[in-house]
Amino acid sequence: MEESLSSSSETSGGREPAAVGSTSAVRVKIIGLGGAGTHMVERLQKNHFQEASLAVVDTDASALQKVAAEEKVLIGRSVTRGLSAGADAAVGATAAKSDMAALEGLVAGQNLIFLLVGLGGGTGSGAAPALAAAAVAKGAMVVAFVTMPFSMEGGRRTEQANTALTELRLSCEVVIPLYNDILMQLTDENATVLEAFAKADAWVRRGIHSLCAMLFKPGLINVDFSVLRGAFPKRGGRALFTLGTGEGKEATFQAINELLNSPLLGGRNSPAPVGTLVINILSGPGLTLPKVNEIVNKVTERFGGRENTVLGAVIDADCGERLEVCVIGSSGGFRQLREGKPAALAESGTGEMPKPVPHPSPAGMPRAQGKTGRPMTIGEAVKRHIGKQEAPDPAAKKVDQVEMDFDEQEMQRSFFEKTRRTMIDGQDVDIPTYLRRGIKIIP
Amino acid sequence: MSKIVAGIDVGTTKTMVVLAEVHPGQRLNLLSWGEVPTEGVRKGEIVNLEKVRECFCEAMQKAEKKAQTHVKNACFAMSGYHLKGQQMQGTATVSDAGNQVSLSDIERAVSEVSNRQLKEGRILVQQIPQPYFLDKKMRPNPLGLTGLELEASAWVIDGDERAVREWVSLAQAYSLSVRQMTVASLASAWAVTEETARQHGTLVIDIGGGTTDFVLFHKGYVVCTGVLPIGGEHITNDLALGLRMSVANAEKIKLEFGKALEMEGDANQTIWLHGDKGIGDRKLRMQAISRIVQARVDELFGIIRRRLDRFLNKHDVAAGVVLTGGTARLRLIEHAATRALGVEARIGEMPAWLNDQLKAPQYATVVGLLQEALSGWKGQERAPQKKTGFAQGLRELFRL
Repeated sequence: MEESLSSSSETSGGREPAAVGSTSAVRVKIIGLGGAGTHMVERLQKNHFQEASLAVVDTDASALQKVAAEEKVLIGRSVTRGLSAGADAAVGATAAKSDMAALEGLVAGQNLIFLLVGLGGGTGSGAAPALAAAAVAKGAMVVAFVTMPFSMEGGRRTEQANTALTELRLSCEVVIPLYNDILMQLTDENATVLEAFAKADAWVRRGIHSLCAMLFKPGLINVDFSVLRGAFPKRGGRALFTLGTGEGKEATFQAINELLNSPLLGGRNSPAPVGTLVINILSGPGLTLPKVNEIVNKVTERFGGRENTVLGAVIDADCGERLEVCVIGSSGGFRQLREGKPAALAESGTGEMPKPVPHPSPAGMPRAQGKTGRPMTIGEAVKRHIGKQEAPDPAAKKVDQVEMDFDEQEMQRSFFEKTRRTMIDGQDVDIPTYLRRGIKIIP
Repeated sequence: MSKIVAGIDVGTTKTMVVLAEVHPGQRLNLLSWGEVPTEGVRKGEIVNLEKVRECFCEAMQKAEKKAQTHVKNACFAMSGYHLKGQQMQGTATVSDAGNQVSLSDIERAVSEVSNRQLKEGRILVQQIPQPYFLDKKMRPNPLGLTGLELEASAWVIDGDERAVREWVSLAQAYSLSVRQMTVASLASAWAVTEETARQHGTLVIDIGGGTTDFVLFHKGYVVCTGVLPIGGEHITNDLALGLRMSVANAEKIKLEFGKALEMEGDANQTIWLHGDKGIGDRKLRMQAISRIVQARVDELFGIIRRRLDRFLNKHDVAAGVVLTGGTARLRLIEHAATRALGVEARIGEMPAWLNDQLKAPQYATVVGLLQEALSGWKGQERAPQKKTGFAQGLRELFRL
């Protein structure tokens, strides 16, 4: 059942698409897996992603029945007989294995797959790695948005989620974990769990929308699929994902501010150096190159897109005065530094203030080489890894990924990232107590 | 005869060395001290031995230079989550025909305690004797008493062999001989409690930068010790994440505004991050700060409460809970402790004879080490006697 629209729909905006080229053939599919993933897709449907087709996969036949999606795949009928996986990841994995052909059919012929999964339960945690691996094997780029269980839900769910997250990172280009604990922080004082989920939806929707717009909508700076894909040559890294919006006169300032202070960054002022940065700016017709430069400078200054920065700037008449910036980054952890050449950094940005202005290259050739940022961060990183052997050829080492530390909750552990996890009474006590207890903090 | 001894506490945040001249006539003469911020330790465990060694040597040099002396003997405070304590028992049937307990009976009972095999990879750190029981009745000194069965017991603390050896290697690198290794909680207890409080029952909690070390006394004996890998740095990290700021700023906010309990006025109060209203300065809600800190502190005491469980009640801990360590400086922490533990808590007072500069709670451990050395040296001058088990434990020298 292959019915996905290979949409290249020239939507609103009106201008001539700058660099359509291969873009027109890009096939995008959004797949919701398991209970939570299915619900997410269902809620996304209201947003009409014209460029993408929607699909859901579950072990639970009755749950699937209730969803309206273009494609529905029931897996593990022989295992669960159409019932849920019972929060057991092993059951989910077996279910996926038993219906591998169906999953392969689902992902075949796709270029970009957004995988939406709630980790922690049975189907999601168990089947996601298999589905992602199948997609990758069929040649798709996979961007996974995964929600991570509340700490309060208990150690077993967290464990299942962490295992699945690690596996996903090994196969997907980008895996963006959304921690429910943190999402809870974003809601209002008396918000319910459902509202926290709605928050997650909003982030995912904006993320997908931004990436799709980057590929499909005309703009100042367009990105074609091969460039986007090329920005994530490595696996196993941890992702950076943040968004910011602004409106009116201060739009740029607001958007940058929101973006840099996003709770999803884990609150750190200096996250680990990021190897790749994809920055997409969505704006009304008022977007100017100086504005774009300002945004790119601020973002790279903070996150340091060392290896490369892919920049997209999309004009969308619907945006009006609104400006939205989406940043997706990936890093293989510090060890990737071996592959990155410090020399390349030195030439692009001196350690001092002068902010190198990235040249938004003409459409079709949008790759802005490492407009690098924070020399401090890099310096620190280099220092940390001094003494470690350096691979001369950047492309030579890819196997390294596996040994990278997959500290799933490192964003929340921050200062304790590099230390051994200490579990007391089933909880990782290095993660802030308020997060684990779901105590609302309004800074 | 006096001897110069170094009390050494290499904590997660600071390395502290205090040199003192110990006089057998129960006098302790403070000579100097050296304090250096520690690098290479996280949560009480060494993550970078080289760095820790540098810090340690620097602290030693500072202290020795000030005192213009070289020290050979050291008392070392041990902490870290790898330390595990448990109660060990040994029994001996009284051999005398008249059922009088002899020294050899005592020795047999004691040897059964100390001859327990440790698991692979574990090493004995400290053995703290508990009272003897003669026919199930507590007898601090059973020698010469009449009975059938003598029981000896001790609170035995063992640690990960590699970790312990790493710590000891610090002292060895400086050609020090470690005369005594004491768990940090016990050392701190020496500094902030009196004998009477320990008799009545007290819980001493030393909240440091990376660990929280606690010891519970009942009738003058140690009944339980414990280490949790949670300390002031966790509060700082929580604040950094919750308020989205750097660790350095979070530390500043913690020291300046941190409270262990949320107060009524907090909801309406805002403070400035830097106070200069310049670039990067921003408003913070007091409530946010208090809530983050309160959650962490409450959880910490909650874990201790669960660990001690039934021992922790007003009757058995009649002398209350005593807080010390650097994090004891956190505002309202004694109230938070009282609330979470259900037993009155207070901040421990350091000995009156101490130099004012060393009276801050973060020095409790190192000061306690010296006090312990004092009683230890005292003991050595006398004939060995199996008297009060506790004092005897302190006399035991631990050499590696």
